[in-house]
Amino acid sequence: MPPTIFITGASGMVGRDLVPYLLTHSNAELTLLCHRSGRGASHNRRVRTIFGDVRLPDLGISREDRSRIERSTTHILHAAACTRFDQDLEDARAVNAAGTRHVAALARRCKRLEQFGFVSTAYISGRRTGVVREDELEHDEGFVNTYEQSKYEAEMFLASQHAQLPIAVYRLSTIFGDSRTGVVRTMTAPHLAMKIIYHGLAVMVPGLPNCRVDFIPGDYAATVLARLFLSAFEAGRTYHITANPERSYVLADLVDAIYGEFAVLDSEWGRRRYPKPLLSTPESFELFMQSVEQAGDPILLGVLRSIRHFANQLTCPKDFERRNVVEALPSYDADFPDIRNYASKVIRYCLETRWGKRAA
Amino acid sequence: MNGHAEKLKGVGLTHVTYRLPSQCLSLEEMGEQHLLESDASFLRDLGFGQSFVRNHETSDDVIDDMAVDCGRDVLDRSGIATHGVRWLLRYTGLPDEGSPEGDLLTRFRYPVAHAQERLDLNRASSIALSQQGCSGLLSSLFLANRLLQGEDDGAVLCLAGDALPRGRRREILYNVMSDAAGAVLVERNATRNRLLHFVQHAMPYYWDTPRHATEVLASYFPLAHRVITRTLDEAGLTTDDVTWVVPHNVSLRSWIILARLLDIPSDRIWSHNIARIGHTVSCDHLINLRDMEDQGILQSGDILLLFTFGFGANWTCLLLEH
Repeated sequence: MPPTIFITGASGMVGRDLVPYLLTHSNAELTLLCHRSGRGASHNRRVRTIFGDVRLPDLGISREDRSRIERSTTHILHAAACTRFDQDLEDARAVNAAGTRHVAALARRCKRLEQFGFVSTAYISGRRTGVVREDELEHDEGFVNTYEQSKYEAEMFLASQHAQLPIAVYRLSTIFGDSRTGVVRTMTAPHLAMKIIYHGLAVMVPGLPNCRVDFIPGDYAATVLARLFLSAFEAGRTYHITANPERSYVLADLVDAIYGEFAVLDSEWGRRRYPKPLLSTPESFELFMQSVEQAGDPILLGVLRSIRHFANQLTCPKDFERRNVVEALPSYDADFPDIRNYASKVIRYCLETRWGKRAA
Repeated sequence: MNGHAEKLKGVGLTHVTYRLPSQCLSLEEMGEQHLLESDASFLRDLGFGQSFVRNHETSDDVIDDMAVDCGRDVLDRSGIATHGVRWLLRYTGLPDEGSPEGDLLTRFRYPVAHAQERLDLNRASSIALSQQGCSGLLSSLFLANRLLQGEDDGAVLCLAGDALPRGRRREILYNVMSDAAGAVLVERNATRNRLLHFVQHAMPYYWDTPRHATEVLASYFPLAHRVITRTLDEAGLTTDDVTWVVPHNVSLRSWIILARLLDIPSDRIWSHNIARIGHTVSCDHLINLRDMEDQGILQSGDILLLFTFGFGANWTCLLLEH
């Protein structure tokens, strides 16, 4: 019988590329849990969409749906998450930590379950620096934002469940866009930063100029995730789906690339010669932030608050080990799209759609 | 980077002076009189304390009078013969537009020519400079150097002075403003305050200050850092070589931030006049230099870094050797 995969977060950043891949590269039957307030992911006859909410016990789904899932599901891929960096901690926990506990509770009742995949983030490593190994989890270095912390808490919970569930964890880095088309499914922190730059409001960013910026393309991330889950699943393993450093920018070069591309795409913008942001220490950034908060300038305050929730990660240089992912997929690094070849597409997409407000 | 960068040889600021109006208002008094945009407590937190304000009873020409007094003082102290002054430059960041009514010829009454006449500088040529905001004085010094390069001898007398319009608020973009006038004599073969290097970066896109105020605020630190760093690099110096930063008297908080970004100890920023006087449109560096000399702060050979930002917009840095 074909596998029956229950997927949460199918309409999210990764889910929207993942589902088509699964349909194309497997004969799996899919059940997609979509959030009640969102649009359902419409696909084909092998796809059933149900509406629910991971924040609720039993995911807020009907008894009938729950019974069918418990009876038939062989694979669960839990990708639903609140990915906002500025969310209140309790709200982030409700989705990311409690939501994971609710999905795990359902999983424990799935009589035919063979695989439980959890989509996490490489930044559960928080403020750690240096080499971050796939088999490492617990630390006391703290976190830059509530997304990191709440996903960490979810992983800590799942680490206690290995005796009950066949769990593999997939830690994704930051998705920049589609390497083929430049399409950005969901505008997140890097795209917001580009918007700030475009409007000439980039004052300073806490960061080190030689800090490597770990971006992954969404299409490659979804493909790798699907291949690991379908064809190379190993319970108890954690995988870093993170960038090949040799095909990544350092922060200073990324800033240069953004400015260069904007100037090419918009000659009027180029004439303004907006200065590049200063790469500062966190302390200088916080002092400036304090001044702006006291002054109450609403525009600058909004800009700085949005930067604060992610940019401090740029002062915590890390080297994500990819031993497990390369062992499972030996061509991972060789196939990894070079950001220099697709960054301009992503930047163009952001500008032409005005960061998702217009059709491409 | 655009603008000007120039190594300057042998020309220096030999005599400096300034005048302030007699009326001094505390932040609290200004708050009570609705002369501030922000809370007095916030401005005090930024390092400000009081402001010198042209009195309502004084004439409209009081700043010009003060500037001429400063010029006379500088000439007397220098001992230079009036025929030794080849150029008179008068900078104002807030030129008087004049009345739209009345005889058209009244628009051709030039304060700089009047100052020249009052100072008896009959062999000089006079030029009025404007529209560089708070960068104008340093640009005047740059021009003075250029003018002297074309002369065998002689000096340039630079006057500066501005007063905010009467009754208007005394705070501009979180900076408390004083009215003031000043003068400086620029001479060849100077033995002190020799001009070493000048860099100015212009951003004419920001010409319409009200429209681009937030962008200007956002650009301040990146371009300040860039201009100061470039000035030092081109002069073959580092921040370690700077004895004193002679600031424009914007908020002390902003100087602390900029000092950290540049890795300059904040106690090397001579910031004593920020609380005492606040910011003037064109005289901050004259005020600070004069006070530093009077208080015996400066030693021969000290490297002085003068930095300012002016609406328009310009970021300007001048290096001096005392």
